[in-house]
Amino acid sequence: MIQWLKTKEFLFLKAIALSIPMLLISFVIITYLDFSNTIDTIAKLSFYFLINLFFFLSLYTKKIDRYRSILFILIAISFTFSFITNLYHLRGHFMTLTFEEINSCEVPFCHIAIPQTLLSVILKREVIFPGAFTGFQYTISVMFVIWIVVSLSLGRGWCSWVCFYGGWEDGCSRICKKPRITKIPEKLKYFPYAFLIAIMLFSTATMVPQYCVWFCPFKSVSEFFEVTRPTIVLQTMIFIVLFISLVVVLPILTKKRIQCTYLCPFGAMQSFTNKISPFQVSIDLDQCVECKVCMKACPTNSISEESLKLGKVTMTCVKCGKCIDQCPKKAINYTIRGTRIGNFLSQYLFLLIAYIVMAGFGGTFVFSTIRKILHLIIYGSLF
Amino acid sequence: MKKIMALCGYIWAILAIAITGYGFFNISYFESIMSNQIEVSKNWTGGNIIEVKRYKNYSVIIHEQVEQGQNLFGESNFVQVDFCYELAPRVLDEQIDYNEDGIDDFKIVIDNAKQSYIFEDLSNKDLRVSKEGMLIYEHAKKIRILVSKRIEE
Repeated sequence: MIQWLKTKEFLFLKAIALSIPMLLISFVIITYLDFSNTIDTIAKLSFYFLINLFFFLSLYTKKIDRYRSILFILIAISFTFSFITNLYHLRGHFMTLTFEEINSCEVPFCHIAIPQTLLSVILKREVIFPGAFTGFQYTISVMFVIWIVVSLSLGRGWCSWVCFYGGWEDGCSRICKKPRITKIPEKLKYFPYAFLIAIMLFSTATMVPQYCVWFCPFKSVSEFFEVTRPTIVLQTMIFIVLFISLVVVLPILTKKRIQCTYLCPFGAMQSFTNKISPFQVSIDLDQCVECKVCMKACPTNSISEESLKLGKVTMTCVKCGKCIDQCPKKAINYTIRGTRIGNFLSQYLFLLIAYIVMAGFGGTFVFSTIRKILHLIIYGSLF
Repeated sequence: MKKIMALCGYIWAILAIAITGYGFFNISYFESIMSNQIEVSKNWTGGNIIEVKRYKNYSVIIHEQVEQGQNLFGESNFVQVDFCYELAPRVLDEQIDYNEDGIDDFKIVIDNAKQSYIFEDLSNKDLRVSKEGMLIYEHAKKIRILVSKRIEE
């Protein structure tokens, strides 16, 4: 009997049984989307099949990062495609943001703007962003609600399961087999916190989301200001340089998510939500042989020699699961605070909620992209 | 003690999952709560509307004065006036009483053909057009003018 419990057949059946809750919940999620025609139905079922297949494979093979990263990269590409095409459909032009849209408060709100607007929301109940609360596709209220509820459960897991930009960097960091740059100054890890505080204060003082205006590299894959003045030329040059260097080149050379780790103010803020999240990544010191494979693999440098000795990761951990996949001794796993390491229930609950969030949030972009591609193939137009 | 900690951990995990699920499936409920509690900064919206003047071919929307205008480093409060029309009249000539004291405070004459405007301060309050000046929207359906007033007044 005990031997049968270790067979592939049993593990397969166990993974199938454990996939049932995901099958049911993700079905409820997709019923929220439009089922009105054949294309929508095919797109929805394709996405439903994909997310459940990857959830099953994560459970069956115990390779978490392998399947997460594929979906995560797919979500990033899908977001860019669906966002840009939606903007074109709504506004009649690609990617450029005009003063008309800014002054009409029609700018789509994204989670990276949350830390910049948070102080004014707390102090004045005002959002210093020219977005909409209701009626528009990417509204302030929806983003805030999703951020609060997801942060409660996943903490900084947002950055590797939810963020619709992170996939670009994650994808680039996987291009090379080995890193070309291995040494990153240790002190740099404090920079994002200093930058976060500066951005929060400066944005609140000027009543303008300064990171969005000056630094956000992801304007390259979403939208940017229409170049009408010399200041905007400078802003455009800055975000292009930041995108090429921090999102493309350095992640390729270092195999790390450089922008997420050393610049993103939202990521820095999310590190603090790791303190309230019930799920954390823990290292079983009884099994750990200190081979440091996890330290090298971690895309956000969240495992240091000191933390390794304590059997913990630092608060910047994005819970991507890369260290879990790569540990030769299977000493690393997701745990619920207060429970013992290696507890399967902790890992299962984390994966369940992470995949549900991924399906409910990122899934809409994948669905939208599949639908548009099918529409393009069948009818010759995206809409 | 370990068992209590583990139990607390599981309870918190289940609660967090339940809150996440509830939040996801009731976004519209939370959306309405947030919309009632928080607003987009008046620096972007121009503030509440205090008067709408309707004419045959166009209408003029006057917003209330936004205190602490622009930002902490900014020099002024402001009043926003929107001109809305389907077909742009050749000339728009409007006198605005922004503080509702029954006396017109400033006058704006917009020449749509030349895409220019003339601003005239009718009060002794040293009013002036803000650095944004007149914003002409892409489809020329709406024009926004920001009017500054020095803080020391």
